[in-house]
Amino acid sequence: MIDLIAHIFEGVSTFGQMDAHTVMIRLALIAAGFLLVYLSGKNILDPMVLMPMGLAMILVNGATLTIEGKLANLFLDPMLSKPEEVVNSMQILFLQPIYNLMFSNGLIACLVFMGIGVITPLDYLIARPLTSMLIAAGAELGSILTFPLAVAFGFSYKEAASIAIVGGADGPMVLFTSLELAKHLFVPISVVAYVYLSVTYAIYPYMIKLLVPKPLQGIKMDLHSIPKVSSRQKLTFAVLAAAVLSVLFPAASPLFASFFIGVMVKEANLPRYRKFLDENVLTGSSFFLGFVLGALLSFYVVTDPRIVLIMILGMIALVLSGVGGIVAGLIAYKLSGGKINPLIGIAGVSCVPSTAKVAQKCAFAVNKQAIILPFAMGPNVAGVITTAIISGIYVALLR
Amino acid sequence: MPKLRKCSIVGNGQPRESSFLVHSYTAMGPQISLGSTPKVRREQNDRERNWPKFAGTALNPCRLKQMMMGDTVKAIHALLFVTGIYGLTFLITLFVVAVILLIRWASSGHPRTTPLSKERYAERKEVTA
Repeated sequence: MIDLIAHIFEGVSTFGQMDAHTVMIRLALIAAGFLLVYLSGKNILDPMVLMPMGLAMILVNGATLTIEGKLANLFLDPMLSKPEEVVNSMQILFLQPIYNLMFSNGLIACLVFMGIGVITPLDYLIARPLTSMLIAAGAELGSILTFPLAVAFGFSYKEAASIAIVGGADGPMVLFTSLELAKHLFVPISVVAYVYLSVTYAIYPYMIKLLVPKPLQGIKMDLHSIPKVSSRQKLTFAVLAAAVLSVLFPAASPLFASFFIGVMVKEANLPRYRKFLDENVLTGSSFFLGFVLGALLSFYVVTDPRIVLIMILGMIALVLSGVGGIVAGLIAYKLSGGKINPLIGIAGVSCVPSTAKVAQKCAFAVNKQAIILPFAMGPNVAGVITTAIISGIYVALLR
Repeated sequence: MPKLRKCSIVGNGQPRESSFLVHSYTAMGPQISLGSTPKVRREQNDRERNWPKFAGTALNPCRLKQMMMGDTVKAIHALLFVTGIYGLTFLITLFVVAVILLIRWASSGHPRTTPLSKERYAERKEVTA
């Protein structure tokens, strides 16, 4: 009788086939999935990516069954490498085609980047390029200093670069770099990056309060001081930048191509393509990104004992980038003779447009007339470019 | 394979086993134990093997010692490496700035070098006026 029940409710009976340590990991991952769904449902975390991720974590760790004597699930198996196994698994595992055709080759990162390109305004970057780019370079501190830290903790150069790029705060870039340099750490690094990108925006306002004196937080910036930038200028920049950066870093050219093709579609005024990339490509790829990442977080994939270290280093990277951005903002404030609100420095941490919104929110809390969002978008977009440059250098040197 | 260093100890005139850098390969990869008596070394290796894996290799005291020796040197090399990368990033950043400034300059109506373009520019100005 018990055997029959165990046979019917296979997901439950598989708990009995595991050692205590694995059972603990499996239960912890299910609990983490519930927590992600709850927090993203409350809008504390980004629901676009993290809600499907949480649900997939619950399902993939709950729906475990035995196939040919091994514990498995019917979602996907990222460990397959032989072409024959991959093709066979595509007939059975329903997310396997998406994983093999979109994740293994980094296509998902490129699709997200195309969508980001379409929603990215280049006005302030073109109007004030030096300020924007130098603030963004300052906000890459985490992507740089986390590298030797990770090496000190015993990671190889390739792994350290994949972890350090979390400091760039750019999800697609993290996916791309870890897929290129440390495929075996792709799952933990990507999940840490996406969870932290949501969590960090809750931390940044406290960092701002700690590091920037209150009177400086409410500095008003003159909106009329931004020179008008034509679509033609932005289009020319997108084409030239894509060409030059691709020639310099062919290894990262898929990312540059994806981002700048999005910008080009926006600035060339192609409404059908724009709608397609924004509504279909970005929305669809964000959904599958979250769902497949969650499905990858099964208890038998997440066995790397260094995952705790990756979590710590990821957090250090984002905090260091935030500090670097704020310091760069303060330097810009000094050099401009007090005309620039130093809060735009935090927008150098490049997740478009969340950090720019954080800067605006903090300025607005101090001074209701302080509108800095258009200014913050400059370093924000420049941050995407500098992160892509660092990612390109890492991939080119270490691949 | 790390280099083995032989350090003879003056006493009975024979080199002692404890004076070598001994490499033991445990479940967590190669561990280096500095010269010590075989008993101490055995105990140390047992500690390494019994250290819970999920605690993370860097939290292992023996791993920490190894980190202090080998990984610190590696970290300093890595720091130099990323300093170079940061410098290169700054240079490319300035290059991107130069590209933007060039585009702005080119579209601002300044580059009128040939007589024909100067003529056209003057005509356009007249029409605008």
